[in-house]
Amino acid sequence: MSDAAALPGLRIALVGNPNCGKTALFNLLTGARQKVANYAGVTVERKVGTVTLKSGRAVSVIDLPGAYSLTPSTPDETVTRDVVLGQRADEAAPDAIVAVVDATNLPMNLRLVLELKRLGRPMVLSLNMADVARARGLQIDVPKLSAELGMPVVETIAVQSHGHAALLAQLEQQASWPTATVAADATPSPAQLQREVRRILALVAPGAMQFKRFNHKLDAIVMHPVWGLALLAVLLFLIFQAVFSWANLPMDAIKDTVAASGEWLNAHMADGPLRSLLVDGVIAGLGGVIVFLPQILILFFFILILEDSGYLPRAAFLLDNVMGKVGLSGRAFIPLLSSFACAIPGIMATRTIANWRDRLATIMVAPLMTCSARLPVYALLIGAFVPARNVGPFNLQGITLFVLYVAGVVSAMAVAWLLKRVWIKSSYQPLMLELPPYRWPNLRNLLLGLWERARIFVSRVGTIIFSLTVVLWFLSSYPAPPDGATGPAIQYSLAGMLGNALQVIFAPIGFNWQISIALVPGLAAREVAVGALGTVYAMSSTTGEVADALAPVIAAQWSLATAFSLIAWYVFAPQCLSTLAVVKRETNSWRYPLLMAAYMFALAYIASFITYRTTLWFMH
Amino acid sequence: MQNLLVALIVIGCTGYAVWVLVPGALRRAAAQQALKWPWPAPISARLQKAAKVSSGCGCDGCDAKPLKPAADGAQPIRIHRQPRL
Repeated sequence: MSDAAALPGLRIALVGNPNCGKTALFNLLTGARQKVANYAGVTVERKVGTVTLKSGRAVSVIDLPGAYSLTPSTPDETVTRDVVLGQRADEAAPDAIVAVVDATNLPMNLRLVLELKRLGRPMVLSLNMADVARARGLQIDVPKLSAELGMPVVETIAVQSHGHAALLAQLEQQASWPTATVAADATPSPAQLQREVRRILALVAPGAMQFKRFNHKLDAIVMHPVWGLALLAVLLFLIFQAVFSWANLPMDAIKDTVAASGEWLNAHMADGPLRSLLVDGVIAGLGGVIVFLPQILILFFFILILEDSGYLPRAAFLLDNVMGKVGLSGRAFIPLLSSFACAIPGIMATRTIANWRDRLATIMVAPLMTCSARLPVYALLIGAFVPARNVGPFNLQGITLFVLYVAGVVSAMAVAWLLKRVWIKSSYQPLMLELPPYRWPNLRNLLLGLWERARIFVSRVGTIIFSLTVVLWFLSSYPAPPDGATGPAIQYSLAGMLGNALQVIFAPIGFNWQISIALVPGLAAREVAVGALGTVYAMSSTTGEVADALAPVIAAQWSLATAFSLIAWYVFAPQCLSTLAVVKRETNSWRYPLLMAAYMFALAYIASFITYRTTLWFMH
Repeated sequence: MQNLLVALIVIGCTGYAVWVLVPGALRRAAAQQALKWPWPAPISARLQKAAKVSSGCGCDGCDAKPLKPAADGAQPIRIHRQPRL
């Protein structure tokens, strides 16, 4: 072991303004895969990773939420302030600070650096996106900047493989980083800090104050109150079209593989409980869920492109007026958008909202946004009940999916409007959000993002969905039917009894006993309901066709009213247990998750009842 | 043989599902109790991790110190006029 390796572990914190590339640098240093995107507020909590230097010394790297100053105005900025100042329980202040700045936005970024310098800690400045600044003609005198700030300055390119080499070299020499002397005068005001920033920039980068970061011609269209909204609607519509149009080929390949696996097992295994478990439980259940992986990846392909391009915060500004009308802050847009992936990061992202009442309202409606776990349920029901034909140039199934996503958004807005008028009243808070410059999406980020989504989905299929499917198969198989029983064996099983008991509650909204069974494991994760339906129908079947495909079976056995009712149920369906747990943690109370579960259950039941009865009325 | 294999799979899956879905406080208490017994190193490491994780989603950033709701009130916006250079 080298001398350096014998030194105690070093803890450094990456601190900087939002969207300056801290998390990308963190990923590069530690090999982690934390989410990065081209807008402020992606990181809302502290993350720790480790990098081992060439000398063998281990360095713990702490990635922190972006902050504009050490005087926090939002909960995520509070996390940064507490970590940097060593005010967190069980955690000392970091040994050194790496101040990360966006080289194309020095007038804004350097103010925090001056604040950090006053803490009197060893510091190094990471001049990130130095390549972009240079390519666009901004000259920065790095040695002079280092002299003015009194700390080492290194150039980094966090989106390039070896863009952190200079920073790693500096980390090797951390012991020699100068410790800034703390000035004895009173804490300077933001205006004084800004004057100091301008003085420094006049010396080291005279072009920085006039540097143009934005494409105003493009923004004139994208952020136009009419054309901008029209563009947003068209973009979202086309995305949902693509989800159905592009996914057919890979979905058919997965379906064929699943069907072939079932046939192979039937042909090569002796009849018995293990074969039933594998064919009726595992293959029918998991096969029914995994088939939706291509659609999820296509949806996230577009979402990741929009995230990386810098378009999303602009959409937040476009929708601020609408959000304000229902009483939500414009800052709620990003958390609500994150909820399209999963409500959990969406609820966590509400930490960027300063006002507690606005934050609570956003938390309460976030699960109404259509999370990716609902996609398999929607895709199954649309595939079974909506004909695959075109309406003009558009795919009818894609239009239906778009309408369902819009229904989620509209219901969230309606509930927020009601909440802000009768319960969580607060005045309108103007939206203050830093716009990022437009960027071409980074291919590596895109591929990593897709890989991460695929990994999360497959991992859920292989763990919790697999486990619950096996448990459901067991409950659907035992006890065995009595002698002389005429119906399918599942009707006499524990699951059958549970389904029949629950049907008393769900019959008024058109759900049969099979759907009633599937709703129970669906509380653990919504997509489990699809796997559960696959298992339940496979156990009810005598021909084994469910292992091949669930959609044709339910299309033959359910009425249109039942299908629409189940779709309406899942627009409002009570969220998964993990979401409730996160709401409890974020609000520090059981009151809010219980209220959330109650109102969503009531909403889902009422919506399904109205949908079922209306469809029946139209059909007769 | 098939019955034995099925029993093992079902027991394992039931245990896993219960472990994952049980509230964090119960899982923490169960892990702390289980740590009193000698376990192979990999299982012991997992139990130690589970004994430390707090409720919620288990992220390490915010579990150390739960965030308190900020006081309600409008945030004043201060505009600093940029001096002519």
